[in-house]
Amino acid sequence: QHSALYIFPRCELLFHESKIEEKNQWPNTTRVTIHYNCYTHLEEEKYCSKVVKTRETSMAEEWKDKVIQEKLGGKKDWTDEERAELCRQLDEELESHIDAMGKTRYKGGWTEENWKEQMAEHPLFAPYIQEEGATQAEAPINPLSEGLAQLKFDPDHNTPEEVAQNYKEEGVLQFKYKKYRLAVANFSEGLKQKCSDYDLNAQLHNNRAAAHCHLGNYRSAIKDCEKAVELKTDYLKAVVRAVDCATKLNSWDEVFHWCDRGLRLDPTNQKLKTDRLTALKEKKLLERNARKMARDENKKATEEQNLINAIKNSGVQLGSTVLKGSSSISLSDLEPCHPAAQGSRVHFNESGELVWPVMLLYPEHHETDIIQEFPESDHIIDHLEVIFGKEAAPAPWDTEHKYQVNNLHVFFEDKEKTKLCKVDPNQTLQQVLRDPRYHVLGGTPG
Amino acid sequence: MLMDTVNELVQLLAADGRIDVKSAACMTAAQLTGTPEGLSLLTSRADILTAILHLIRDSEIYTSKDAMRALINISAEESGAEGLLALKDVDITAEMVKCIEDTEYPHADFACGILANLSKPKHLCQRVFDRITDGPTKLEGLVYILSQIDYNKKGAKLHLLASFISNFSQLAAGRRQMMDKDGFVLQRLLSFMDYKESKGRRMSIIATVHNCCFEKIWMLWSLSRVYTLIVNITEYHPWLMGEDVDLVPRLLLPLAGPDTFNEEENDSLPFDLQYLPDDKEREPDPEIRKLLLEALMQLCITRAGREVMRKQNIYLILREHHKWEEDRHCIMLNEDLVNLLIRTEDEIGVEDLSSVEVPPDMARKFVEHDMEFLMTGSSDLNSLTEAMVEELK
Repeated sequence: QHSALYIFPRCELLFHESKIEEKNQWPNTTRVTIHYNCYTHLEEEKYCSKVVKTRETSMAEEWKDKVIQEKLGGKKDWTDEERAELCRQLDEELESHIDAMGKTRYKGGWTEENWKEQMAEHPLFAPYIQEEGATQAEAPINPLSEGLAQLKFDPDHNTPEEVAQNYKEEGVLQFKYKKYRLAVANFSEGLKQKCSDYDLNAQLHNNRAAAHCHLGNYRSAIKDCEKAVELKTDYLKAVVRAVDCATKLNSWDEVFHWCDRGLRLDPTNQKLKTDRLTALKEKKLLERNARKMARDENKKATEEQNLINAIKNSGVQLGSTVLKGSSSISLSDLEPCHPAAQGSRVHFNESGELVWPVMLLYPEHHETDIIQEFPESDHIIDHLEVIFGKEAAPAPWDTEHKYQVNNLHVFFEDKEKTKLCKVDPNQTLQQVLRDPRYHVLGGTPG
Repeated sequence: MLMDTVNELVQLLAADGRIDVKSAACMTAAQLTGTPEGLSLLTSRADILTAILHLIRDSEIYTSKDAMRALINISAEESGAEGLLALKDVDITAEMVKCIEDTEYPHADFACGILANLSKPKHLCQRVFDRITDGPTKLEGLVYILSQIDYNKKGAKLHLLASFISNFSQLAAGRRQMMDKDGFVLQRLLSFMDYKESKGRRMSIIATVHNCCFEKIWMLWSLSRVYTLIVNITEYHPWLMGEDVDLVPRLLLPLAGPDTFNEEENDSLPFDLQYLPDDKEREPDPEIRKLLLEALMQLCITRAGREVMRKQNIYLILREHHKWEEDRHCIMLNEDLVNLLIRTEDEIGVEDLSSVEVPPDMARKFVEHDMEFLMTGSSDLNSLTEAMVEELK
């Protein structure tokens, strides 16, 4: 899990090394090799000599014992001169051995061509080249960074507080580079340490909340702020952050709650007061809009109900294509099915009378006409005049111009008796509709 | 003989005594407070009072309850309150505040009641107020506790805390502290102005707000060596009516009923009062309605205030309220208020109505007229007002 965490060069690394030296451990050869590779090219002499020197000393110890065994047959009592002589011998042998290791040119170093890439990959120099969206799995696992990361976050070598502190710093760095997901991961790791420093944990929560904010995870951010304030009750920063997140979520009640908490800590805080006012206004607006909508809906419902009642009471019978047992009619039953009549459903006009869309059928030619607005009190003949009168052009299908006002017979169909009933055109629509044999289908008298 | 019994009682009330003894003694003390003689007896003995005070946190719940009840009765009498406040060994105010702050203390409601009793007489109120201000939890802290529903986990509702806080509003210093613009006290109280669950809390909060509207500042303007004008300025009204507090719609909401206005009229009202639902109920208690109307009247004193109210078109709400209102006193206040709002500024002619000097005989006439109105319901206000205006000109 540490692999994706890049670390910036710091002097501490040297101390970590020295720690290892003190403990006289050489955990594994790989690590040793890493240090060699890592530092020989930087400041060859300084690091190389340091490492080599310590190696020297321990190796020298080994050799000493070895030589003592081999050459001197386990002799233990020495004079000073003999000791000095032996030392000198051993030194010479060591020198020649090292010389024999070859003064080959260091091959693993960076060349002219690839030094930029190498540098980019190297944890000591790498800026954060990782793209924002890349997940941890995709990050190239640089063994150098892995090693360094292990050093830093190894619980064996550090106290929980130190590890948590390191994670926190790491996360802050990520944050500065806008790598918010990595920052969150770091802060989470820091919190996993469950160290006993409440302040530090509170800061970790607060920082994680900030990172979540930038990622747009306002809900998670608020949760973190809550934890932060739990740990540190006067944490005004966390409270203010929670207010901002709640504002972004338009969750006004939460804004009030957090503002109240903040104003308890700092009653003079103008920002919190302003935020609270904004929240108050927004909430009032919301409530008022909800009330208005409710009122409009109610109004609409009552109007519809009135219309239906008026139709029922007027004696007009509504038929329907589907047999329904219920006596209640809804407005959808009155929606006209005919495409030309769409949108002109029966309604009240200004004088309070019903206005219907009326369909005229011409069975001879299988044609229909729609009169979109036919007030009940109008006489049928008036509308026929308009359509078939002297001024009006004959209908396109009326080739013989047979359809003239005086010639017309108007009927309606009695659905039950499947009979045609004659209609006196001098009557009003109202009178026709109230004929007990007449049913209005599809909201459109036909 | 009696003294011996009383002394014995003191001993039995000792906090480190036997549980059953303490309980019985406490109950006796509580019962004594039920009678006037017993009460005065207990009040005279500071040691009994101290002993009772020590028992309020007794582990036995009935003992502590009895102790609190005894204290309630004692503090209800002015002499008792004096005695309690005079106790040297223990500061009763601080003790009670601790009880209120403790979320686990079961008798917190009693503590609120005791404090309310102690602060009711005006001369004692100042003392209590000083002690609270000196203590760790000031007025602000108490208001914060009040504003959290379910603060106390043992079932105490703390409604009487509102009464205690409203007692402070009888002091100028209290009002000023509540209306401190840098602080955040009054605004917390406002949300309880329509608190349905408790009439007591609602009444106390509205009374507090009502008192705050009367707050003025006296300033000395020295124009010359000879003439100095004492001017009083209603400094808080612009703030109260401004958006920080926005008091006017809140005062009107309990007086408003279901929406009967058209869209245009609705849009002219403040947001709080627009499109009210059909089941909106007006404030049922006439006393509270009276307080609301009086507060509105006070805000009308200055010209600026009147103009704000006219802009918010609250006349509509008042008109509907007048149709609904049955209580004579409230109707009278409503009419006065509408009177002020309907007239133009030229007609009124005065910037600050509180500076108008009403001659005593006119004042008497007004009072008589009010009484007549209340009794019989006839309203001849207009003619009287005209007469007054003529006189003052």
